[in-house]
Parts: sequence; C-alpha cells; structure tokens
Amino acid sequence: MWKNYYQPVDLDQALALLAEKQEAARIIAGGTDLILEMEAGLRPGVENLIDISRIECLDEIQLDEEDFIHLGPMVTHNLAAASKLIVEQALPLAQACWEVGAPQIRNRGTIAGNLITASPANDTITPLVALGARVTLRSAQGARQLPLSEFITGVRKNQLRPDEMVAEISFPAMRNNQRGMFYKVGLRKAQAISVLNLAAVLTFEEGTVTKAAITLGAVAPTIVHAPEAEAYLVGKQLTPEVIGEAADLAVKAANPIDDLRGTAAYRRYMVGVIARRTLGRLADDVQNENYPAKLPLLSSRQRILPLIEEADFEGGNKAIETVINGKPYRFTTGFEKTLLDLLREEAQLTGTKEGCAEGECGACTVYLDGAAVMSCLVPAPRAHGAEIVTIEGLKQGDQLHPVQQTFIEDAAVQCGYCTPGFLMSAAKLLEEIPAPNREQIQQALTGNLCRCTGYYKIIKAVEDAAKRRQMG
Amino acid sequence: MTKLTFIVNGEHKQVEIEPGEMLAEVLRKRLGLTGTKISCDELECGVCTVLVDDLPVLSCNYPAIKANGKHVTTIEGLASDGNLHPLQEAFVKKGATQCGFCTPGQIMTAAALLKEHPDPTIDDIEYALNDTLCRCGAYPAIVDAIRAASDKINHGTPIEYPQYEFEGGHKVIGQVVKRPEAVDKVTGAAIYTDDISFPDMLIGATLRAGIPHGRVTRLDTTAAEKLPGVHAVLTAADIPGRVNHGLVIQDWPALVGVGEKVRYVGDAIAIVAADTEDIARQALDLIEVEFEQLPVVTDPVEAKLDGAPLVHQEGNLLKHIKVDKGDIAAGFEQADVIMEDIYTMPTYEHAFMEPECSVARVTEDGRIELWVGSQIPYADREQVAAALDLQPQEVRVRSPLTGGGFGGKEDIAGQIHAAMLARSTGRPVKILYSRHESLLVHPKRHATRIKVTLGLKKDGRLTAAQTELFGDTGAYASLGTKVMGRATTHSTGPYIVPNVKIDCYAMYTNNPPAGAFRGFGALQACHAIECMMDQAAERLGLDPVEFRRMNALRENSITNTGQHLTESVGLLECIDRVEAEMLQSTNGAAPFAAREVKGQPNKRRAWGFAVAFKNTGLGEGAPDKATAEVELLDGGIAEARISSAEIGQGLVTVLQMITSQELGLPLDQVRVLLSDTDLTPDGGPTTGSRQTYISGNAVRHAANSLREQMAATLAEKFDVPPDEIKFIEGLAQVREEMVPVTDVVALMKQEGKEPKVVYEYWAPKTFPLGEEGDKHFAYSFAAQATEIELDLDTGEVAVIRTIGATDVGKVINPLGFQGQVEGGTIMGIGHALTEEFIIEDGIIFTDYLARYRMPSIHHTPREIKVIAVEHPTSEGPYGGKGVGEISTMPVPPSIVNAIYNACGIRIKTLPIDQDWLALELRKKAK
Repeated sequence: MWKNYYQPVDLDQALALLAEKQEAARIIAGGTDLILEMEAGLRPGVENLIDISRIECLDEIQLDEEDFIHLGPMVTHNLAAASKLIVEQALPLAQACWEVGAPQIRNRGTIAGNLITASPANDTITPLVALGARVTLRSAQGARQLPLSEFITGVRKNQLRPDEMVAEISFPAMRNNQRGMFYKVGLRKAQAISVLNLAAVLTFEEGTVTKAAITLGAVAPTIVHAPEAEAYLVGKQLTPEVIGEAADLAVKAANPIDDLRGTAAYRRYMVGVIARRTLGRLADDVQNENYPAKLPLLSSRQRILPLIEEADFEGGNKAIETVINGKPYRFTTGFEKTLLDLLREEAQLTGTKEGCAEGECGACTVYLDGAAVMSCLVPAPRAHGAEIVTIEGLKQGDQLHPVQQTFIEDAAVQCGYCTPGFLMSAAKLLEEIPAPNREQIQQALTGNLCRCTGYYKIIKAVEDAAKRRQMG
Repeated sequence: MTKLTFIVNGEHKQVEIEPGEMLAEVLRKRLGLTGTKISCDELECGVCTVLVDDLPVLSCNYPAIKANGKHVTTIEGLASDGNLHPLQEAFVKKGATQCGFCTPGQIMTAAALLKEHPDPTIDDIEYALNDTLCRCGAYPAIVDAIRAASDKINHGTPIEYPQYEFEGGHKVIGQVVKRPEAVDKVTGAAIYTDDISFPDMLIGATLRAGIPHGRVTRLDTTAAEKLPGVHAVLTAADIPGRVNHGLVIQDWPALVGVGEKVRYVGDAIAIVAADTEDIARQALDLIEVEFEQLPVVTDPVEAKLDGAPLVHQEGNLLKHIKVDKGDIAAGFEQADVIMEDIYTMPTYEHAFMEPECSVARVTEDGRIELWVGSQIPYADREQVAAALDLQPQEVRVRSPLTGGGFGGKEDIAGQIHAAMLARSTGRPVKILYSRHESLLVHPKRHATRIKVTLGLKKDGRLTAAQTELFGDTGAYASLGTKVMGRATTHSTGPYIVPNVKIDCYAMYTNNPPAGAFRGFGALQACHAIECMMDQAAERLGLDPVEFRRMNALRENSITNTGQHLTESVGLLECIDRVEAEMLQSTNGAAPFAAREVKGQPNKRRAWGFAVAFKNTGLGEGAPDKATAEVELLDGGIAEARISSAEIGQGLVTVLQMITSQELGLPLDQVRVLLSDTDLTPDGGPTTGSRQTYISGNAVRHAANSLREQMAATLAEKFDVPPDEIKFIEGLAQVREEMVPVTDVVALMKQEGKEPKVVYEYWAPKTFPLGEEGDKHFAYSFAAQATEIELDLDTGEVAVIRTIGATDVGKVINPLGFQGQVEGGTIMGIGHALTEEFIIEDGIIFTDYLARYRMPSIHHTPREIKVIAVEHPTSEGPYGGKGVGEISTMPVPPSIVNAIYNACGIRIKTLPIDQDWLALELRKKAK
C-alpha cells in the first residue's frame, strides 16, 4: 500500500520529510483510520508514510503554569482515558476517549488523529470543542495555532496543509467550580460509532451557572455549539424546569440528517433526552459516577518505546528486525504488508487470524510493545525494533497459559477462529487486573467478536483463569 | 440358451440362461443382484437362501429354470420404499450382523419363518435356522433380532438397542468431556484453510458484477493478462463443464459470460491468479467489462406482480409451497375471535468468523485437491467436478477446521474458481475472500414477510390458522425451496390446530441469494406465530404461558401436516420448566407486568415468553443418510471416519464419545477424521441439526458392529458366548481375563479379519408435502423466557436474563449442548436487537463488518439459564435429536413480547428499531 515507510526519531526529521514529500506523504500515528482509508482507495497518491509513533515525548500530557492542558500528537485514547489529570480536570474528554472503539483501537488511535479525520461522529471532538481547545499545527517553516472549531471546516475536512502536522492540542483545565460531562448514544455498545453525542462544560458561582458550553456531535456537518441553551443557562440555577428548558433549546441547534444509523427525527429528539440527562447529572454533581475506577487498557506499557535510530524503509531496501515471541526475526520482504500479514505470511505464524481486516472483530489481536493491538491495522514496518507477542507465544514453556487452560475446560472454544484474539485480550487483562470483575472483563473483551459461543463461557473462562492464576 | 421368465422382487424379468445354470448365479451375474452370497456351493450353509414363491430355497444348487414363472424374493427385495424390513432393522440394531456375509441368508430364512410362524418361539427360530450357518457366532443376537422383528410386525413395538451394562447409564454419553481439538485451538496450532500454503502458490481473485441486474455486453481481459505477475485470467468461456452450480437447482453460474445476465452484485465475471494479492487486484482493475443495465426487482412481494422485471427467464416464482389441513373456512367460522397481523424480518448475515477460503492444486496424478472449510464436502466435490468436466473421484475435497458456518458454507464460494485456476496454471492457488467479499457474495437468511391469521375460541383453543409467507430467495435458488418449505410447515407453530391453510412464495429477486441459516426458515416462522400468540393471549385475557400450554403439541398430537407425533414431544415439559424458573426469579410476582427499576425512573423491566419447534434432519421426502467407517488401528486406537463438518458445534466430540461408548475404549483412544472425500465416506450435509442424529447413528452402528466382531473373535478363541465379553476402558473382559484391545486387533488380523466396519445409516423415511406420511422423523422443542430492560427515553433495550429449556431427546455432549444454546441465544438477541443486512435497490450497504451490528460481549445477559429436557426418540442415538438451530429461534419473539409487556408497544418488524421505538414511546407518553 505504501512505497516508503519512515520512522524518524525526532519531530524535525518528520517535518523535513513532510516538507519534501508534500501531498505524497502522510503522517501516521496509530493508523487506525489511515490504513482503512488507504485500503479503501481513499488516499490516492499517498506513497510515503511517516510514522511518528516512535518519537520520544510526543505522547505527553502536561499541565502548564497557566492551567492549560497540552496533549502531544501521540496521546492515544487509552492514555487520555487513564490519565489522572484528564479525568480530574477534563472529564468529558476522558469519557469520550473511553467510549472510542475497543481497547485494541484505543491503544493505537490518537486524539490528534481523530481531529484530522474530522468526522462529525468522532467522539473526542465534541468535548474538546466544549473545552475550548486549540490545535497547534507545525511544519518545517514554523507553527500556527487555531481554535479547534476553526480547524475543522466540514465533514472530514480540515485546515491541515500538506506539509503540516498536528503538533499539539491544548485547552484550559477545568477548575473546581466547573463541571463537565460527555454523553453518547450508539447502537451497539462496543465499537459503535455515535448516533449522536453531547458534551457540556458548566461554570458555577454559588450554584448559579455563569458560563455554559454545550456541544453536539453527529447532528450537523461539524461539531456545533447549542448557543441558545448556553445563553439561557447563564444566570440560572439547574432546577428541573431550567434543565428541561435548556434541553429543549439545545434541540434547536441540531440540524441532523437521516442516515442508516438513525433518523433525523430520532436524533433531534435524543438531543433533548441526553441534554436533560447530562444537565441532570451535572446538577447533582454525579457526572463522574459511571467512570470506571480501574480501566482495563490491555496494555502493560503506557508510554512510547522510542526508536534509538531512525528506520527508513525506502522500497524494500531495509529489513524489518523484530522480536516475536522472544525470538529475533529478520524480514527482507513484506514491509508493504500489515503486521497481520507479516506474521501469517512471512513468519508463518498462522495462529493469529484475519476475521475482517477492518479493526472490527479482534481476531488478529497481538501485543505490540506490550499493548494489545489489532494487527490488521498496524503497518508491518512498525514492528521494526519492537517486540511482538502472538498466540503462539502465550504458552509459558510447555505450560498452557491459565486462560488457555480455562478456555478449554469451560468450553469457551467452539469454531476456534476468534479464540486466539480473545486469549490475547484476556491474558493481557489478567496481567493488568489480576481479579477483574465482570464489567472489566466485558470492557476488556469488547473489541473481540465471537459468533459461536455467546460470550457467556468466555467470561466464565476469564474468571476461572483469574482464580487459577491467583491460586498459583 | 434357454429363456427364463420369472418375477424377481416384484419385477418381471426375462433372461437367456445356459442349461444347468443355478439360480444364485443368474441372480448375481445376469441380474446384478449381488446381495445373495454364495459361500459353500454345496447345500450346506444356507447363506444363499432366497424365497421362491415364499418358500426358502438354497439358490446355489437350485436350477434356475425351475424358477420359471415363479416369484423370487432376494435380500434386495425385502426393504420397501426405502424402509428397512423389520428384520433388517432388527439385525442392525441388535448387532446380529458382523462380517455380514451370512446375513442375507439369515434374514431370508427368517423371513420365510415369519410368514409361516408370525410369532415364533425361540425353539421355532432355532429350528428354522438350523442349517443357516454363521461363523462369527452372532446367533444370540440373531435370535434376539428375529424376536424383536416379530414384535414390531405383530405389535408395533419399536426395536430397541440392547442395553449396555454400564452402571448409572452410559459411561461416556451424557458425560462432560473435553473437546478434542480444543488444545490446538487455544494454542494457535489449529489449521484452517487459509493456514495452508505452498511455496509456489498463486493468489486468486474474483471480479464481481457490482450491479444488481444486467447483461454482459463486452468483456476484455487482454490488459490484465499482460500485467507482469499474472498467470491466468479466466472467464465463463474457460469453464470446461457445467457452468451452473446449485445444491438443489443448478441456476447459479460460476462465471457470467458475454451475452449472459448478472443477477446480483456478487456475480462473478472473471477470475485471476497472480503472484501476489496486490497484483491480482490490479489485474481485476484492468479487466474491461460493460453491461446493459436491466431493471431491478428487490422486494419479494413486488417480484410476484405481473410485469415485474424477470430475474430468471422462467419467472420470479421459485416455488409456491402449500399446506392444507381440515377446512379453513369452517375453522374461522367456529372461531369466536379472528386476529390477523403481518410480521417482517430482514436479511440476516451469518458473519462466521472465518471468511471463505479455498486452496486448490493439481496432484501428481492429475487430480484436483481442494481444501475448503465446507459444510458439504461431497457436494463440493460433485460441483467442482461437474464444472471442470471431471469425474467426482478425480476431485479430493478436504476440510481443515472450519471457523463457523451456520448454514453459510453450504453453497459454492471460491471452490470452483480455485480449482479452475489451479488447473489452468498448474500451480496451487488460494482464494481467500476478504470480509467485504464474503459479505457481498454468500447466501444470506431469507428476508421474510409473514401474514398470520388465527381463529380462536374464547377459552383459547385454536380453531384455524392461516399464514401467507413471502420469502426473498435472491438471485439464485440455493436452498430456497427447502428453507421456505420449513418456514411453511413451522408457520403455525408447535400447536394443535385442526384447520390450517398456508401459502408460501419463495421469490427470486436481484438481492444476494438467500439459503441456509441456522433455523432454516423455521426461525422466521417462529417469530411471526409467537408474536401473534402473545397478541391473541392478551386479546382473550389469557396468560400467555397457559394459552400456549393449552394448544401445545404433545404426544399423539397431529401436526399441521397431518403427522401423528408418537413419541419425543417434550414441549409441555419445556414450558413448565421455564415457567417455574421464571416465577422463581420474580418470587411468584406476575412476570409479564412492567416493573420499575430502583433509582432509574426512565427504565422498565418485563419478561417475555415464546416457544419453538424445529425438525431434525432433511425431511419432507429428502433421502437422509450418512456413511461412517470405524477402524481399529494398531495400538488399540479406534478411528471414526466420516465427511461431516465440524463447524464449531462439537461434532468431533460427539462422534468421539459415541465411538468410545460403543467400543468401550477410553476417549483418548478414539480419533475422529472428518471431511476428506478420499478417506472418509459421505456423512451428508451439515445442516438441519442433523449431524448428531444421522452421522452419530452411522458412527454408532459402525462402532457397534466392530465391537460385535471383536466379541466374536474372542468368543471363538476363548470359547465363551460373545455376549459374555465386556469391553471396559480398552480392555476386553473374557471371564476373569482382561485382554487389551490391541491384542484383539492383532488376533483379528491374524485371522484375516479386517478390524474395520463401514456402515451406511438411513434415517427413517419421510414424505414430501402433499403426500401422506411423516414429514420429519423427529422434532426438537423449546420454550424461552427473556427479561429485558427498556429505556423509556432512548428506546434502548438490554436483555437481562434468559431461561431456555430445550427438548433434545438426550443430551449426548453436555458442554456442546450448552454451548449451542448459549451461542444460539446470543445470535437470537442479535437478530432481535442489532443485526440487519441492508440492501438498497440491490446494492449492499452492509459491505463491511462494521456495518453489520452483530452482538458483542456487552450483549451477554447477566444469566443464560440452560435447561435440558430429555424426551428420547426411539431411533436417534441414545434417544438424541438436534439442537443446533432451535436455540436461536424463540429468542427474538420472546424479546419482542417482553418489550410489549414493558411498555405496551408491539413491534412487528425486526430488528427492533430503537429509533422508532423511542419516538413511539414519546408519542405514548404525551
């Protein structure tokens, strides 16, 4: 799909490449959108991918002296969702990140990538607009900063120039007198794209709203504010009547369309419903109550594992050197493939399965530098200098991993095609949370689809494996 | 030469014979009736016994000319209409046949005996069989068999299998055992088709029509052929044999040629083999194809109208299926209340986790070897051979593990294409469908519209049921006639209805073909009738459970097709068990009333109820059989071989358990080899919940017969009666001595006996609609209660808890049973709440998995209570019948009924539209 694949070790290298290749190049971070777009032929002419996921410090989340939060371009959804700072001072963003995709997607997909894709249904944009976020765009020439609402200009349209990348996202941290929340309606709990979503950030003085930001996603070509509701709320206390009136006013901001995920009438009606619910929770100060205390991230590495020296794959000139299941591998072919195909076709490790090749089913789950990822959405060269674990590497010596044991004993295996992916997710979960509750198991396995077992025995197998591990 | 004129097995025969020819030779050589055996040729052994004018004669020395003008009956003439004679059945079941060589003589002699003495004593039998020898020593079993046959003929007593001596029932059957291939599946060692590769293998790809209806006017492959790395570009013109494939009707072109029509977007136009997938895809882009677009018809009701665009020249009606029972007009006249409604169900997608893959190569001896995860290996073999103009045995089909099927891997996908490309290039070729292609191409579940009209007495008794069904079978027949047949017969539910009229129209459209899918038409039928039954109960002011109980089929009921159910009808017990469990969960409170949820004023909970029935096996007159082979190998390992598909349901486990049970071998000494047409006989299609019953029976009989042979060998060596020999844990117990099975095998081989039995099992005969006789030989029954939680504001529905009881006759593999019910329940939840395969004007919207909202782990209810109900069948293995399909069927109507109970809104279209429901709830609230 790509002719050249670059893995720079600092931002200047990346920007220089971008300046050189212009339209023929694309920055790739998690690649969860880009790989699909390229496979669908939506990125004609893009021959060079510049992978910034090995550049140190691009995944930082920082609070500056002026109480602004800064997100680097490699801040993934999982990083943000698990960040104490984000949860405490930008809760709507944490909630939106947690609602994105599946753990394997959240481990790769970035917030900056979400902004660049600029779909009105992208979950993270709505809270960032409500929080008043700005984006910093950088090129070899310099940097500029734009309000996020200006950066996105239409459905999947933005102001990014060919030689620019999103270098930072910043917004004021929420203060003690502010409350905020994100609310999403989808049609399937896992992996669902929003039918619509809403974020609200309110500022209070002694129980009275002094400032209100309410933003709506998937009800217009871009994320929109609900100005009438915002204006109405200022100077009011959040009584049920006020909430009802504000919710009705929020509906006016929605200009939705009928599509296969929902009718315009439903979306319009639901704006009212979720506005009421969100404002109600904010009134009661319980906006945080459903946010899990311990998130199953399916990752044992929270930060980037940087490359020591840059790795440029121009054509097939360079071998991919990687470690799979503890063994070193060197691949002189296959750099243009996905990691899944590299594993199956070049390494002959066919235990990892392809179920959909669109990041939807989880059958291809492997560990990339300690994080569970969908290998169908990872470019093969990303494996260079990285460490991969596949289903073949889950056994500990001759001993089956406890989840392998219990999947057999609890009959969690039927046709077996999804099984490797489930096992990888489950094993990583137990590494992270040794005694997960049912909710956490469901969260962790939400990106893995099974058509045979009905999941019931799979959950039981994970529970039993947890017990077995704890008993030693 | 002399002319011999006589009647053999009811047919007039005239043959020229040499002077002095004996009857046995004439039968065997001149008439090809080789069932009659010649053993001693000296009037000593009785093996050659046939009946001449009903009297037994030894045909080996009976001058043929003496039979002139007479009636001769041979072993071939004993069975009638495909049904075994009771003697044959009894010999099978009682293990009275071992090596089988004397069996025709034994049976013919016994037949003569029964004509003379219909109810013979043991003395009579022994006297009659005095001169009919058996070297295997099966005499006790033969006597037992003749007694049992006599009882069946005289008293209708079903012929039972001998009881085994295991304490506490079966030693293996019904026990919880480990799935044999599970370790491979959890370690990544399990091999599916795409896991097979060859060093010089090419990648195949297929050019699809992309338009729903049109005629190919131009096709130019020149540019594609020239692309470096391309090794073959083939079109319809390159098909050497039969262009069309199809399991019932061959109407589906493997490739559509110039001048021919494409009938749906997935039709194949050209195939390419190239060094890499990328090159193959580029080559597809270089193929130039032009169409004359034709008008499209996509709705089955519109397809039936005059002037609708024709999908096939012969018309859009694939089949009109009818059922008539009693007098429908009179039935409605007797009714106090008549109710009518229409229910629609969308196209559903199997979404098996493993997309279709075929790998083909030409072997050194010029045959085609094809790997494919197939539900019907022998049908693949026939269809690939026909397309390539080969004999079936020139094709070897091998199934590695199959990553789910659910009915979606019964038809041809890439099998023919891969074989064509392999033959054209001389190199192995793999065709792996992307998920996108898989969604576009393979047959789906029939979108169905069902109108139900019920006539009811005030007290709740059904007087009449009329249904009209329209099924969208798409562009090609696939199994459409059969699927909609099952929809037809199941559309009035498992109820006693005196007057029935059903009209079902299976219609061609320009949508993707529809074919087999778990539930096979009966799922759609169940949904409509079960929603209607709740509506009727409410109208009559009856409890929906009691109302169903009143009308439920039970033993000795007559079905809507006139079938008398003589056994194995566990529906009432299913209803009772589920109701009891449900009442326990509500502490006796009314389960169907809406309940508030503490702390969540916008939520309501309620239970919903539904029942289901589903036939086991092919039925409706389709010959249903399976052939299995069981062999004892050196080392005391038994191997059962049959071409039947393990698609996740646990067939390997079931067949291993059965073999283990019958041979008294530990499970780990039993191997099961499935689906290799060179090595395993035909088990028939993996469809219709039939494998445990049909293939299970074939393996059971084969293993049982092998056990008898072992016993006979030991009996002779140790001079003990064979029935005193027991087989326990791989050892034969002969008096006090324990003989390892390995020694028995060695002994058999020493004696020149091959320790292998091939058994062809025929299921009881069934009859097509419109003819007298049973439509199916067994039905499974189920009852289901589902508790849902409804969000009154958003219309979101969550399933909280389900209780399902299923009458499967006998649970053979408890873990497999539970797995089928749990998995089926989740699929049912998906069908009700999330799944819909969307097609607009013949163009598929759901062309990525992300657009097919199949249930994820979040849809797993808090509890799925699985209850086994066991009302055994006399013929099924250990009493068993099917479970694979029924588990899904009652789930959607139970959810729809629960939603009604929670909020008073009746949903008539699946899947349940959250959007619509929320707006309805809002209207209601106002």
